[in-house]
Amino acid sequence: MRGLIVKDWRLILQKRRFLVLFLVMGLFMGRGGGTAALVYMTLVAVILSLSTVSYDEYEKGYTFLMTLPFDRKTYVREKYVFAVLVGTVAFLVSCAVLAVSLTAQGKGLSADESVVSVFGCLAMAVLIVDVTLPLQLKFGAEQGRIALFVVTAAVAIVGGIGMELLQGHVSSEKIIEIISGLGQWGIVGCIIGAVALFTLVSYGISVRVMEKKEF
Amino acid sequence: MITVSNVTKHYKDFCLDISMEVKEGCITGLVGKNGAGKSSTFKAILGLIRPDGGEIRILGRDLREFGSSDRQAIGVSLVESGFSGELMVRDVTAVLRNFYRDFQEDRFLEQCRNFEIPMDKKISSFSTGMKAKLKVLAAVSHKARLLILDEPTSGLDVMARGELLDILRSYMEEDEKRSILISSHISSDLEGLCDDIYLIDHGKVILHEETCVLLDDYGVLKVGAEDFKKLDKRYILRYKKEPFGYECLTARKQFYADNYRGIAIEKGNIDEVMTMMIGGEEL
Repeated sequence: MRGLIVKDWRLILQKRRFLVLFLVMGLFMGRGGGTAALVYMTLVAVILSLSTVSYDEYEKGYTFLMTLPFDRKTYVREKYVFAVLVGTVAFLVSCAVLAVSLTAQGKGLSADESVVSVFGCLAMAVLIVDVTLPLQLKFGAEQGRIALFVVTAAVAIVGGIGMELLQGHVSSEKIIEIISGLGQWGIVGCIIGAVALFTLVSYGISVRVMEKKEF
Repeated sequence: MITVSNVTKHYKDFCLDISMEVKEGCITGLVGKNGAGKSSTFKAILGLIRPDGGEIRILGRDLREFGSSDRQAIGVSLVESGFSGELMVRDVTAVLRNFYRDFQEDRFLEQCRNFEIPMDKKISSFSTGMKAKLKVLAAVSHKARLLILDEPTSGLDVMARGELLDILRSYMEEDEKRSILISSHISSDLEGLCDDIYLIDHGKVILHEETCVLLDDYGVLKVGAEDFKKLDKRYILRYKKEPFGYECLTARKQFYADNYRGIAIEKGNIDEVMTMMIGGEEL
């Protein structure tokens, strides 16, 4: 897996101009001390890591890549690991920017706000990987984007219909009451559990897609 | 080193049905016109496509059990695919270092310099020849026991082709147990390199012969219509009607030279044999 990580890391480093712009944007957004920079930098970094799939695929790159000493399961695993690594680096950098900015302004984040921001942001980053990666591997980078749009629209429609159907049967106050009852760490635990389950399902689908693929 | 037994793969308009072998210490060539099934054969051997039937064994293992550590022992160069064009040679070096236990970094870099491959330019900006050289140098960089090279000399000029073939010869001389499976549309490259040749057409092997036999014993007879009628046709593999009479491919040219005084016989070479085997008719 090390070889694959080195390859992807070096591919990302080729986008130096974008990386500088990305960092400047992050610093600009983080100067006020808000958590927007945290979310922005982590999510963009994760999306950037997923772009390595396009490079692998470009000009029949997969055909050669798949002759190198790793199996297809390792390839899939590396994509998830790499996204988490890049997302974590970006997250830590943005945390540092945020901390410096808040310290300079003599402000501080409340414990509640920090926990919710941190886990909300990380969960969203992992979910983006979980949804995008199987679609990119199955349909390719270009068609994968269309598939992602279709899936997002389908989820929104199904969610909307579900909410409509539930209205009248379950009150929103009741749901909020149940969630509030879980407490801050209970919510975090639920998020972690749901994301972990989603990731496992996504990984399983990605492995199946890759193992069925011919190049 | 490689055994392909009755491997079939059906496509909508093409069917691969092939058996072949690459022996230890040998360089085996695969020739055929475009679309004959050369690339499909390579892909099947490399596990890039799943055959519908048959068995492939590489380095003594069933292909289905040929894992990532086994792949350390093979070096691959493919005509239509390689490292991402966004990478530079120094990136490729780092990648190979992290993939292969036996990567010979100093040697690889030295060979790149010898071939004047730029270190700090993206591969996408390389000429076709430079890309081809880099692919082969990467394939021989990690002491592989087996090289699988699909059209490695494609796009190279005569000088560079010669240099590249010398690298392959040196690779073989370093260890007598090494083997190469190679395809090329430049038949002279294969004639000077391969121990045996497989000729494939429409997904099937139509000829397998040792290169020295092919060059020494095969020949094309050129005879008039009347002489053709009288010709002993036991050793004629294919014939083709021409304006002057007939061209006949034989694997026993000496027989005809001895028994038909004055007969015009052209020395066999891969191009002639391929043209006759594919374009000629069976008796």
